[in-house]
Amino acid sequence: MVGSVIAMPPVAWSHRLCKAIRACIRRSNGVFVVAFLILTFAAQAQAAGLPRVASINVCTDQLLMTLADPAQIVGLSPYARDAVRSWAAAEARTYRRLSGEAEDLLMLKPDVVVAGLYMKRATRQLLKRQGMRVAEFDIARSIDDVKEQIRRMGDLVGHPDRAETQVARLDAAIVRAKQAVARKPYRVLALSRRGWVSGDDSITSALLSITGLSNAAASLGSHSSGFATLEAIVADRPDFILISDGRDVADDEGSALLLHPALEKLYPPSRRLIIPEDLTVCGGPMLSDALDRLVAELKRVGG
Amino acid sequence: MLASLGIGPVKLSPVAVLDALFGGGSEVQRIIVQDIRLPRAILGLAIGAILGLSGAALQGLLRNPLASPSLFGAPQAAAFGAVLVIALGGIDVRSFALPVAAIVAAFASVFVLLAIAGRNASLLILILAGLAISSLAGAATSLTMNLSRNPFAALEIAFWLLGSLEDRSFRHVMLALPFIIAGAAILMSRRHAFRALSLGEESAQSLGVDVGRLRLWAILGVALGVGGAVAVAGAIGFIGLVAPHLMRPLIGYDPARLMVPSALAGAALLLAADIAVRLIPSTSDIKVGVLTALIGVPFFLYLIVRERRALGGGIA
Amino acid sequence: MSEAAILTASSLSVSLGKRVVLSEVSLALPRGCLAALVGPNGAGKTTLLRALAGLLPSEGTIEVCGDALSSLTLRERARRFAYLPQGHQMHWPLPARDIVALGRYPHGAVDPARLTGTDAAAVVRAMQATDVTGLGDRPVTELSGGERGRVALARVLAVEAPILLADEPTAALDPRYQIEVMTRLRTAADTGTLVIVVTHDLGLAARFADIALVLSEGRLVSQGPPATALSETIIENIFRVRTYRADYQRETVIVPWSEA
Repeated sequence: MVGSVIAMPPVAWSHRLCKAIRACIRRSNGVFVVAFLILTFAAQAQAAGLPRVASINVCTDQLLMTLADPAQIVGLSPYARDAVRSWAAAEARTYRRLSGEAEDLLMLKPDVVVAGLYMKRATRQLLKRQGMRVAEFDIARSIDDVKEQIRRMGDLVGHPDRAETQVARLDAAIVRAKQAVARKPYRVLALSRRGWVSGDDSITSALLSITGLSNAAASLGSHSSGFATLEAIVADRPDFILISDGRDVADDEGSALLLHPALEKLYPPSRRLIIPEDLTVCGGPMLSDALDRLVAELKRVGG
Repeated sequence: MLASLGIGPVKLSPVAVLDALFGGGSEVQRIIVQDIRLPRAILGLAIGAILGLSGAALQGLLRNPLASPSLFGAPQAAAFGAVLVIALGGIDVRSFALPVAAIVAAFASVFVLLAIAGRNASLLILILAGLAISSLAGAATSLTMNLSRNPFAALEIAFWLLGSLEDRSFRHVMLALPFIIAGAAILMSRRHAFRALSLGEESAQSLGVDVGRLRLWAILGVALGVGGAVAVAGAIGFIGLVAPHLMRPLIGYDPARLMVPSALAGAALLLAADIAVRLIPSTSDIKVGVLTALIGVPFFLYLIVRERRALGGGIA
Repeated sequence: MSEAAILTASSLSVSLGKRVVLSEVSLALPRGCLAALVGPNGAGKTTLLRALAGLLPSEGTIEVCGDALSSLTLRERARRFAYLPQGHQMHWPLPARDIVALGRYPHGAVDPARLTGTDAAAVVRAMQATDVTGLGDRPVTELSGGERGRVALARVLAVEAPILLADEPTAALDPRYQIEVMTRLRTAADTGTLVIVVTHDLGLAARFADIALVLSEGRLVSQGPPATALSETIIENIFRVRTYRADYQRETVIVPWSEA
């Protein structure tokens, strides 16, 4: 079977096959089947001359899953399966879960390791010392950053065409959002647990400005992201707060802040824009979904 | 109390604060004073008071000036109980499950400690056992947070181990206050028995004090109070140790008479510490537990120097 | 001795784990009697005292003032027995008067700052009897050993219980205070209290007690007036010492003299 796969010219039908096999994996839980298929993929990817890539960062995970052939994906970071923060968490379950440390990467010998620019510094250095190619992705702070990163990953996995498709998809969402722009330049504060505020240099801020909203972080005295006190928020009183969770449940004391009575009084559900965390935590293909969601939320609260 | 209401990131004049407290001022001012600063001040007072009271009660029970909830690992154990409930998942941190778990854990820790130490516990054994329990509880708290799927574990661990009153709300007050009041009532109702205990357990028993039951009540009172406090504010240490000592030069050594002043001193201490963390300029919020430890630990060392003879002899 | 017994114990036994500390002790003691409980180290003297006061579980029956001890609450027991343990522990530097006032605790006077007239009078009486009135405001931890011993004695006298149990109240006191303490206890007995004193001092026992109780290896081996209960043979057998014996001012003198 392995031999026969290699023998056939793969590029033309690989995509269709991948989809079929992905569906097959979803249906069967057989370890042997999975292992066998991974072997098959690996062989196929090598045959196609495309690099095999491992990701140790939740944001590069998303880019990789969107742009690479399944066969190219050696493994993903542990957080790739986190349903709250990882956009493609369901799909991530079909790939190997890496420890995020250097050891399994050295064993698996991917052609490229993609990583964040700030996290896992020691791991990245160790891998580089071992002669491994490590591609580092900075945190995307603007829409341009995002497009650039999509294209970069597309080049890296050998599918620049798919990258262009994703960029076009994002552009289309931006156009849609600009058409549905808010009636007034409301001041919106993007607020996370413990009072973390996304500043001007964040993707969230970029999303707000596309829809004609302004980031209230600036008037809280900070253009970059950081913690804001509850009192400062209440005193500044932005028009809306943008949060990731609309439930009335606090999983820990950090998220309890968002349900503090002081905030609940000023920001009932009609004053809260809710965009799930997995749409905003990274800059990547999910941003078109994030924009659509933001437009929908604006409509909900009557903005 | 007024200072606590008056101080915060947003500058309000004392007049504006008073005005807002009684329903005047702008809506924002009212929210800042009534919903943000008032619950924080109330919790500071209540938690400080119960910690001071618990310290005085434990010192009375064990006839030992170095006894205190934090040295015995009670707050750390309570934090572990609370964190365990959070880690099990699906539970809102504002539900009563949290203080109940904290209370059970605090009760277990003090009970185990006194069981280990035995009837005529020496200072050294108590402190060593307390150290062991608090280290174990601290490690268990960290591990539980790490094992839970919460990616913000590091920050949350700091909260539980150091304690903070920041941005608490009236929901937190409602969560903690019933337990704190119950704990305080239990401890206060036993205060005269603590005085009788200054003659030793045998004499106290011969005076009609059921020493075994007194221990259980004292542990229960401390566990209720400390557990309720920890469930909303994390493990704030050393208030219980310091407060009775501050009052002894003024009130004398009578364990019963010391209890109310210790509670007041504890309330004042914690409130002052909580005001101080808001005044100290810093890039991120300082945890109030850090400050109480900064004050409490040198004080504890000073006490050890003073009690060195008793410690060296191994008898208390 | 002809009076009715206020305290009776029959077949009293105490075991700590597997070890039998007290075995089949029976006694009956009347009001106004001073009983000296003597015996070698480890004979079970303290255990007997604590068992009588109901401070540790025992087998057999104890009757006090006509009631079974087991039927009494802790507080009722505390009003009938004043118990002075060995070593008079005082853990906090409380004023001496507050320590004495703790003697009124069984009577419901739990707060020394708020005593009723009766309680206050009892405290004053006890302090006068032990001559510690002048020490009332002094912290007990600053007192000398003798003074502290007297304060401790005042505390048990303040209970004004029908029965007073004192465990080695004369230990670590100089001869003058030993005699002083025994004299106070004698006075208490003379005013109607049943006093049981544990002591190692055979001389004091012989001199002050109406009855001597000799305990050896958990058994009561001899009881009666000191002259007979502390006979030469008994002391030689139990304590393994020979004694010098005499009469002085019509009292029995017993002085341990040499190893037997």
